[in-house]
Amino acid sequence: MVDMIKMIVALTIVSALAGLTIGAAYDKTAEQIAEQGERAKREAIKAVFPSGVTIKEENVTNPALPEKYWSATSGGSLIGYAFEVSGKGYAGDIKFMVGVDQAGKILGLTVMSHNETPGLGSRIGEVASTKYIWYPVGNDYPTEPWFTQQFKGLSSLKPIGINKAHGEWHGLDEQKSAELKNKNEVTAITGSTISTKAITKTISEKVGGYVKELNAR
Amino acid sequence: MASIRIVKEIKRGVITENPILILALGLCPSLAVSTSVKNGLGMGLAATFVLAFSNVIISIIKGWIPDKVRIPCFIVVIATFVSILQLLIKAYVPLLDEQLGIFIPLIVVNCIILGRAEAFASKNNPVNSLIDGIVMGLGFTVSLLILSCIREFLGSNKLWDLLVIPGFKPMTALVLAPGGFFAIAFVMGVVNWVSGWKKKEVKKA
Repeated sequence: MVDMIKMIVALTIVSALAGLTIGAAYDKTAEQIAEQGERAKREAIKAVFPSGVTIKEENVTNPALPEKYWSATSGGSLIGYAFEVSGKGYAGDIKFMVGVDQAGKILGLTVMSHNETPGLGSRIGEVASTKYIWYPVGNDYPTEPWFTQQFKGLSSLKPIGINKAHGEWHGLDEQKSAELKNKNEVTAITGSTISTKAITKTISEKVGGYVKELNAR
Repeated sequence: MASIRIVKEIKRGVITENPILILALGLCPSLAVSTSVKNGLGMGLAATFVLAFSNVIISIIKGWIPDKVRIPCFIVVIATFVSILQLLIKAYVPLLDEQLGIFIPLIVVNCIILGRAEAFASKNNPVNSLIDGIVMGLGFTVSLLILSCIREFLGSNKLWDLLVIPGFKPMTALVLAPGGFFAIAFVMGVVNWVSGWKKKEVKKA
């Protein structure tokens, strides 16, 4: 009996202390974390539009539209919209920002957060390397992930297909990448078709609908 | 004297008691993150950090924890540490969060940490436990680096995201889960083979 009480007391004290410590740490960091999230969102919005546009936040109460989206104008004329959407990936939601013009053409795409498998699905944010380890200086280093880059110019109004015949997009020649663009297709990440599908499906299911709704108004 | 001890401790963590290759602990996270050298190093360092601190705290509180509930108590301490680490990194080093964010929750279930808490920290003083945490973490990091070099080179023809041999067609299977098993079995086999030599030499002498 004494033993049991000892165990209960010890476990209670350890858990209570752990809870308090995590609570305190959360309290101290919550504001900073929220700020980092806001900053990342601002950068993502900027990245999905061409440079030099004016970005405005729009709040709507239309059930067919998200509560919040962003519109970009250049010299008074509308360039397009940005939507923050998320789709179910292999492990949890993949949250990303998509920029589209009024015709539904994708202007840019930035992955904001995901929990995909490191080394496989996590490559949705990978920058394709063209540098060799033997001479790592000199060559141009791409800064945009190849996976999101291939969505530029595709239509969000039609379903986006997944092409597995030619390997990954960063290894394709111009003719093949133009062919994919014509067919409204992207290449899958090897070994992570589910992650790829999460993004293509979300775009045609959600973003395409938003564009239609905005154009109908 | 002190420097001899450091060399001895490092040898223990990296070679004679290497957590992955000899003790065969923490194999799941090793398989998951050894797909590229960057991931391997990141996971190794993050786990070392948690290992060192949880070892110290556990060796401090070991005196008043009843034996029967020690495992849940250790897990709570480790999970607390991982949560705090995750919050701190998210708040103050967002760049590191992008690189390491997905691995940090994995550290809780890394059996090396619980294994060292049980086998070492619950029987030794805080200073020795800290040293044990650091050298074991180092051993974990070194083994992850070996595994991830093999897998990243053969599986994607890259090291540290840089291409290695022009025109070499990589075997994608090696960055997938089965490749992890192959690589780990191969490295363990080599380690056993080499340690087999040593035993024979001792017998002859």
